[in-house]
Amino acid sequence: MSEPTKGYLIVASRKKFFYLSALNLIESILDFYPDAKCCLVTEEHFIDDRGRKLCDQILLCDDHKRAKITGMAKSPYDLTFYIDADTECEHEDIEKVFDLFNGHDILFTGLPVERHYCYAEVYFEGARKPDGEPAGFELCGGVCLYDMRVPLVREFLDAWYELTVEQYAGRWWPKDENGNEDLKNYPESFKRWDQFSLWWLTKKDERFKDLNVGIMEDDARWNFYSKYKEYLNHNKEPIVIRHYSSADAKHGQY
Amino acid sequence: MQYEILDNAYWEDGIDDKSVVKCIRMHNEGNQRRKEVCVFSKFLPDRSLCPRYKEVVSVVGTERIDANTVERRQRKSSEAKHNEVKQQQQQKTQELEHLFHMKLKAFQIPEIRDSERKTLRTKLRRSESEVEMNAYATLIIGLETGILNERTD
Repeated sequence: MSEPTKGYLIVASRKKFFYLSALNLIESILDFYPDAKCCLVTEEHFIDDRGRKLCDQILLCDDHKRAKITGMAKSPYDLTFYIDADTECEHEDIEKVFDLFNGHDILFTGLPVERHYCYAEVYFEGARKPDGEPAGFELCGGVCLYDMRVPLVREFLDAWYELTVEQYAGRWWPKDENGNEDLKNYPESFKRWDQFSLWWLTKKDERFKDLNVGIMEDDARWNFYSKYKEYLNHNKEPIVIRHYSSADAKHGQY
Repeated sequence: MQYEILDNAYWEDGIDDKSVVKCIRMHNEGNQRRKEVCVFSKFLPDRSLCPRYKEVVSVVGTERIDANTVERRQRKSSEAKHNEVKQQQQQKTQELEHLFHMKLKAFQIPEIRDSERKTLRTKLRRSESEVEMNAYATLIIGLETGILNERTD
C-alpha cells in the first residue's frame, strides 16, 4: 500500500487580511518544514505571485462565510491538517502533526474548563448531561486533523458544510416538542456559529455515530490562542501554532 | 445600639501600632439595613480615648481584629500579584497581536513581498519586537533597492 499523501490546508476568503495571514502562515510552516505541501483555498481575485510561489496547490472558493468547511472537504491530501488562516507556525514539530491520529478519523483541539475564560459561550441547556451536570461545546474548530481516505470523514465534512449553510440561512434549527425552534435548549446566539453545527453532527446525528472523533494530544500547543494566559501552562510542549483570532487587523483595510 | 458592628474589622493598612481600626456598621432603618464604613483613631484630638474605637475593639476583640488584618493583607497581596500577572499577560497579548498585524503590513511592501532573501524574510517573521522587525524590514528594503550595496565614501 502506498504511503498516504500529507499536507496542510488553509482557507482564506472574504477579507484580504485572511489571504495575507494565510501566506504568512504558509511561509512560517515552510520555514520549519521546507518540504511541506500547502494547499490554499481562496478567492480568485486575491491570488498574486507570492501565493503562487508558496503553495503546492491553490483551489478556488466563493466568499461564503463558511468557505472554510467546503475548503476542508476539497483537500487534495489523504492526511490533512487544516489550520485557520489567522495563525502562525512557531515550531518544527509541525512536521510531526500527522503522527497524532492515534486511531482517530478526525481530531480537533478541545475546550476544557480551564480554558473557558477564553470563549464567549460554552455551556447550553441542550447539552446538559443526564445527571444534570452542565455541558456544552467540547471541540474547537480552529485546527483540524483528518483522514480523507475514510469515506465517513468526507461525508461528515460535506454534511457539516450543508448543515451550516442551512443554519446560516435560517432554514435549519432544532425543534422543540411543539415543532417550534428550540431556543430554550439551543440559544439564538448560536445561529451564526459553525461550532453549533459541528456539535450537532457529532452528538446528535446518527449518521456519524461511528465517526471516530478525537482531541489532539497536548492540544493547546496546536492551536494556542494569543488570549491564552501563558502562566496557566495549558500546553506541555512548546507552542506549534499560535492563533491571533482577536487581531484588530482582520477588521482593517489591506 | 441601633447598629451592628460586623466582625470583619481590621487594623488600617500602613499603621502597625493598632491605633486606627476600620469596620463596617450595619444600621437598622425600618425594613432596610444601611452599611456604613467607619475608620476610628484610638485617640481624639484632645488625646482622650475615642469611645467608638473602644467600642469596636470591645465588640470584635483584639485577637479577631489581628487575625482579620493578617488574612486581609495576605489576600490583598495575593490579589495584587495576580492582577499584575494578568495585566502583563494582557499587555503581551496586545503586543503580539500588534506585531502580527505589523508583519502582515511589512510583507505588503513590494521590496519585501518579492524578495528572495529567505533568511532575512524568516528573521523578519520571527521578530519578537517591532524594533527588531523594523530593522529586518529596513535591511531587506535596503538590499533590494541597492542602497546598502552602494559605496558611500
